[in-house]
Amino acid sequence: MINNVRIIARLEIKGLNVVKGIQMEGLRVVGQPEEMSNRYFHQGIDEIIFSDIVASLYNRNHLSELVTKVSNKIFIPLCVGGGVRSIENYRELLRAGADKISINSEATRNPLLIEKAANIFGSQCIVASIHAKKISDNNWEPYIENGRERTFMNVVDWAKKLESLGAGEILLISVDKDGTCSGFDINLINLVKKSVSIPVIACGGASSIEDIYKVCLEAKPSAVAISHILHFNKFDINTIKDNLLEKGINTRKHYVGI
Amino acid sequence: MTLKVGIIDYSICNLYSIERALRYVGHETYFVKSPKEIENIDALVLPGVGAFSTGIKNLKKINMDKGIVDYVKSGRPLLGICLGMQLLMSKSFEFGEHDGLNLVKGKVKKIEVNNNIPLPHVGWKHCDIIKNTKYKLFNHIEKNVDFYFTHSYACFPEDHADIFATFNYGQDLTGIIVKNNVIGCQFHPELSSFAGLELLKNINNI
Repeated sequence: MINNVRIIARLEIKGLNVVKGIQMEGLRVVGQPEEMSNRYFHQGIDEIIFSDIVASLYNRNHLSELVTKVSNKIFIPLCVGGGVRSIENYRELLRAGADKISINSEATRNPLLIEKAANIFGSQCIVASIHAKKISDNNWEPYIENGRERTFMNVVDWAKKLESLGAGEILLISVDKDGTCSGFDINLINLVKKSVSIPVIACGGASSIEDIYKVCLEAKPSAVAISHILHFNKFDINTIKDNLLEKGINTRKHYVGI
Repeated sequence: MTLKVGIIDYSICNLYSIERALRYVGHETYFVKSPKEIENIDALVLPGVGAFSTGIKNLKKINMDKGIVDYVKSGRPLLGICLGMQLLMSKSFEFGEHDGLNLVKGKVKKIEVNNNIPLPHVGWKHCDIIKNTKYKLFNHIEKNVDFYFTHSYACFPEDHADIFATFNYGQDLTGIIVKNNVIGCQFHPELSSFAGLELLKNINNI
């Protein structure tokens, strides 16, 4: 593989804390966003995703302050999402220091928001998030409101639509696998990866380096987003990257020159 | 050394990441919106994300198309980042045909990829230096450090001597342009961790 697979830390934010649940339920506090982002940045993570998991439910957006604090100290792409409903929300979060904005629920209600945002801010900052739940063999349905509400759409149709609207990347989260530590949903990632040409970020289910290796080998996503492994200190980022390299998966080498 | 670095504000979003990074390495930063405001700065950055046509239109609106060209004559360094690098070229073929600043002769074209390679190109890549000249600004690039790229278009300079470094994305593409005091990088140093910060720190060492 010629390209470096990006290893992304996904931090689910609730209020002032980073939380982690199982299949998006049973949330447990695992740390503070500022401290964790800073630590992961210095350890060599390639990118950070903040998902405000209650913003969409409670119709509020209090992320900006946090984004400003965090982005003053980390110099890698920061993607922020949760409760984004308008161009104004995009502007606010970009101004606060986000480099990319992820959007899920509102995109299903108002797909043109993606098109509009891509035209104004550029596709590079439009990350379309899909929370996919398995319905039957080879059939997944996008869910919204953090995995609580159905959309009755098909994941492949939706991914293609998002690409045509101008999304720059797809963050593909398996609702079934999230927090279960049972490995990625490789069939899902393969299916979506093959149906679009924009980068796909695989997310949900990683509990070991072997899991990351397997998804890179079998589905070849552009990036993997992990949380559990890092939040519970199972492995640090260098160990993950070194192990992947030994198995033939290239990642960015951390450089501490300055 | 603390430098006064101007960041051209031409209403294309995301000036904040570059501002924070420049400040982190000890420079003073100024958002500049007119040629007059660049008189006393030590280095100038043309950042940019988004569409080429909007970029050039917005630069013209604030007279900075001419402002940048005049600035370059003064010999002080100009750094174009991503779209900011592409704007330095003569022409772009992004959604039509548009004239650029023509500081570097050549074209901006969509990257041609085969089916297996995603586009936009988003990710970390190292650059290979293809020129004999050494610049302190790029010292660490020889160590194969990776930088963060996000783009679908790339620069194709007419004169290969203007290409300082290339990167490979299915084919060799222009990573860094150096023409006297005009520098362009396709990647985002402000999002490239310590490798990018080191480059920004040495922005005037050309």
